[in-house]
Amino acid sequence: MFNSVRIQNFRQFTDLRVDRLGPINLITGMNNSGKTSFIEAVFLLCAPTSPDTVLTIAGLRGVDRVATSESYAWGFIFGEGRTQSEIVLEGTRTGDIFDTLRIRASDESALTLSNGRESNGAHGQLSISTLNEAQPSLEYDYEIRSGSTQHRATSRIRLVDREPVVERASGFGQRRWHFVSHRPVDAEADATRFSRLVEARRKGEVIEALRVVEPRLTDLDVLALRPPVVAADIGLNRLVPMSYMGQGFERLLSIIPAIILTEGGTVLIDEIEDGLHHSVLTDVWRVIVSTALKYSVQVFATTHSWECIEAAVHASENHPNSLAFVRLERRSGRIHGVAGTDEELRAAVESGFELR
Amino acid sequence: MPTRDFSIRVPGLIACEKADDQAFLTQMLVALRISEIDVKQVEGVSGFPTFIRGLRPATGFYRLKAFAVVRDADQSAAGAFASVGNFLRASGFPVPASPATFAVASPASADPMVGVFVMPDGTTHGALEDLCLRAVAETTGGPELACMREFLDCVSSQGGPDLETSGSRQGEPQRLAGVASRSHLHATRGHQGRHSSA
Repeated sequence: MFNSVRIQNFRQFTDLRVDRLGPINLITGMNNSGKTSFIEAVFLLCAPTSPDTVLTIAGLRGVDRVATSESYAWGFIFGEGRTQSEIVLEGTRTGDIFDTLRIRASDESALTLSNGRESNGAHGQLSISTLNEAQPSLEYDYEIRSGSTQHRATSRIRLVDREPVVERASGFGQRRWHFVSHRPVDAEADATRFSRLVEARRKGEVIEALRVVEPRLTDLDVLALRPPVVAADIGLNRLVPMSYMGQGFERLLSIIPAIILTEGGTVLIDEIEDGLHHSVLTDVWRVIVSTALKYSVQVFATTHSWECIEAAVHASENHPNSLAFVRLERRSGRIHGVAGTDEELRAAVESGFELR
Repeated sequence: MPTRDFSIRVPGLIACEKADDQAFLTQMLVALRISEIDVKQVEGVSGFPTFIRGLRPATGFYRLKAFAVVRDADQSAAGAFASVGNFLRASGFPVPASPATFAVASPASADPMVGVFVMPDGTTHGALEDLCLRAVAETTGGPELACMREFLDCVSSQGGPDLETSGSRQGEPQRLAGVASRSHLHATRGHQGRHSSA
């Protein structure tokens, strides 16, 4: 579990440090304060030897064909697009484990400016040239420290003929993580995850969780359509594909299996309240908190909703110190993080303080 | 049920016990033309620890430069001061050495300076209303106060509660000072034209 993170030169963050993280972390802040960027940074830190995760987060942002435009392949993750600067992500995990991930771009195909001589002989005019044969690459320099032990490894992703080629460092145990986007549900991916739970005989846990938003639910199955979809038995004469079950149902079907299958890892959820009516939020949080604690999964969830924060507080009443709170604030052109403990968060909700 | 949208918008914040205190202090600040201080009641003296504990994550906390707690002495001014000090200490805020003074946080901290104001005067028992009545008596001689005392005695002699001695706990509106201060405000409303309903 991450206890603190530090993010430098990543998207909006010049240098952001957040301490006092907990098992369940609520990330709030105004629009463009960097909530999604924050969990993306944690996401990169969860997979420090898999540089292709930059393409995954591009996909989560809706940029699916990132490789077709080389200079945009990863320029978007650097602070204000300054690919000359190094991104540094640091995490402190339980057990005094320190992670440092340094990300450097070598994007030689980017436009270069030179102070050259034009054909008319004038000096001092800027000319623009492109190196067509370059292979832009992104280097991941990862270091893990624990006590006196220290390991270091370099991984790399390159674009060759506009296709990503990944070189992962080996010898590091694979960590588990999952990112639940608020963008349209990937029904096929949900069906795949659900099938794994059926295989592991854990289907019952998912059904029980989903009854929070659909009390009539008695069973779930995967229909072998193209693509395959999860379908629900709610007492009708045929199963109902999840896309007809409502957004809240789809949302939980993405979240709960992700938590169960990420045992011991990290689940990042963007705009968690999306598609969920405020009246079910406390029950939804109850399921998320109990499932996450049961499987030792650290959750980072962004939200815009006061009701969602309040629901999380009520839902975790029986789990002391399970919640932590981070609000991202833009002050003087820079993003700052305000962290709150479980106790402070409960007191703030009880006192009616604005927290978003 | 507290509101859900109290954010810190100005550099000063006063936390007080009840709605009456909030109304009075708000109107006092208006009368003094001070707009850089907000007032928030904590729904009774038992609300102070929760309010203080929840202050740090509140939106706009970074704007806060001065935070004051105003509470009634009730039975003991020293006890009231010490109890607020304990709440502040438990939440990591600086604690003033005595009532009506401010403690300043360390330079490395972004915390506001903190003061504790125990009513009526930091030493004797009583409440904010006592301070108000004392101010009235000192500034105008308080001719209305004799009428109010007569009224309250009358209520008591007709079998009503003894308003002068009963209900000395916080939150009970029967308190003499509370009734008297409200009566004074109503009595003078017509004369001066601009009084709050504090």
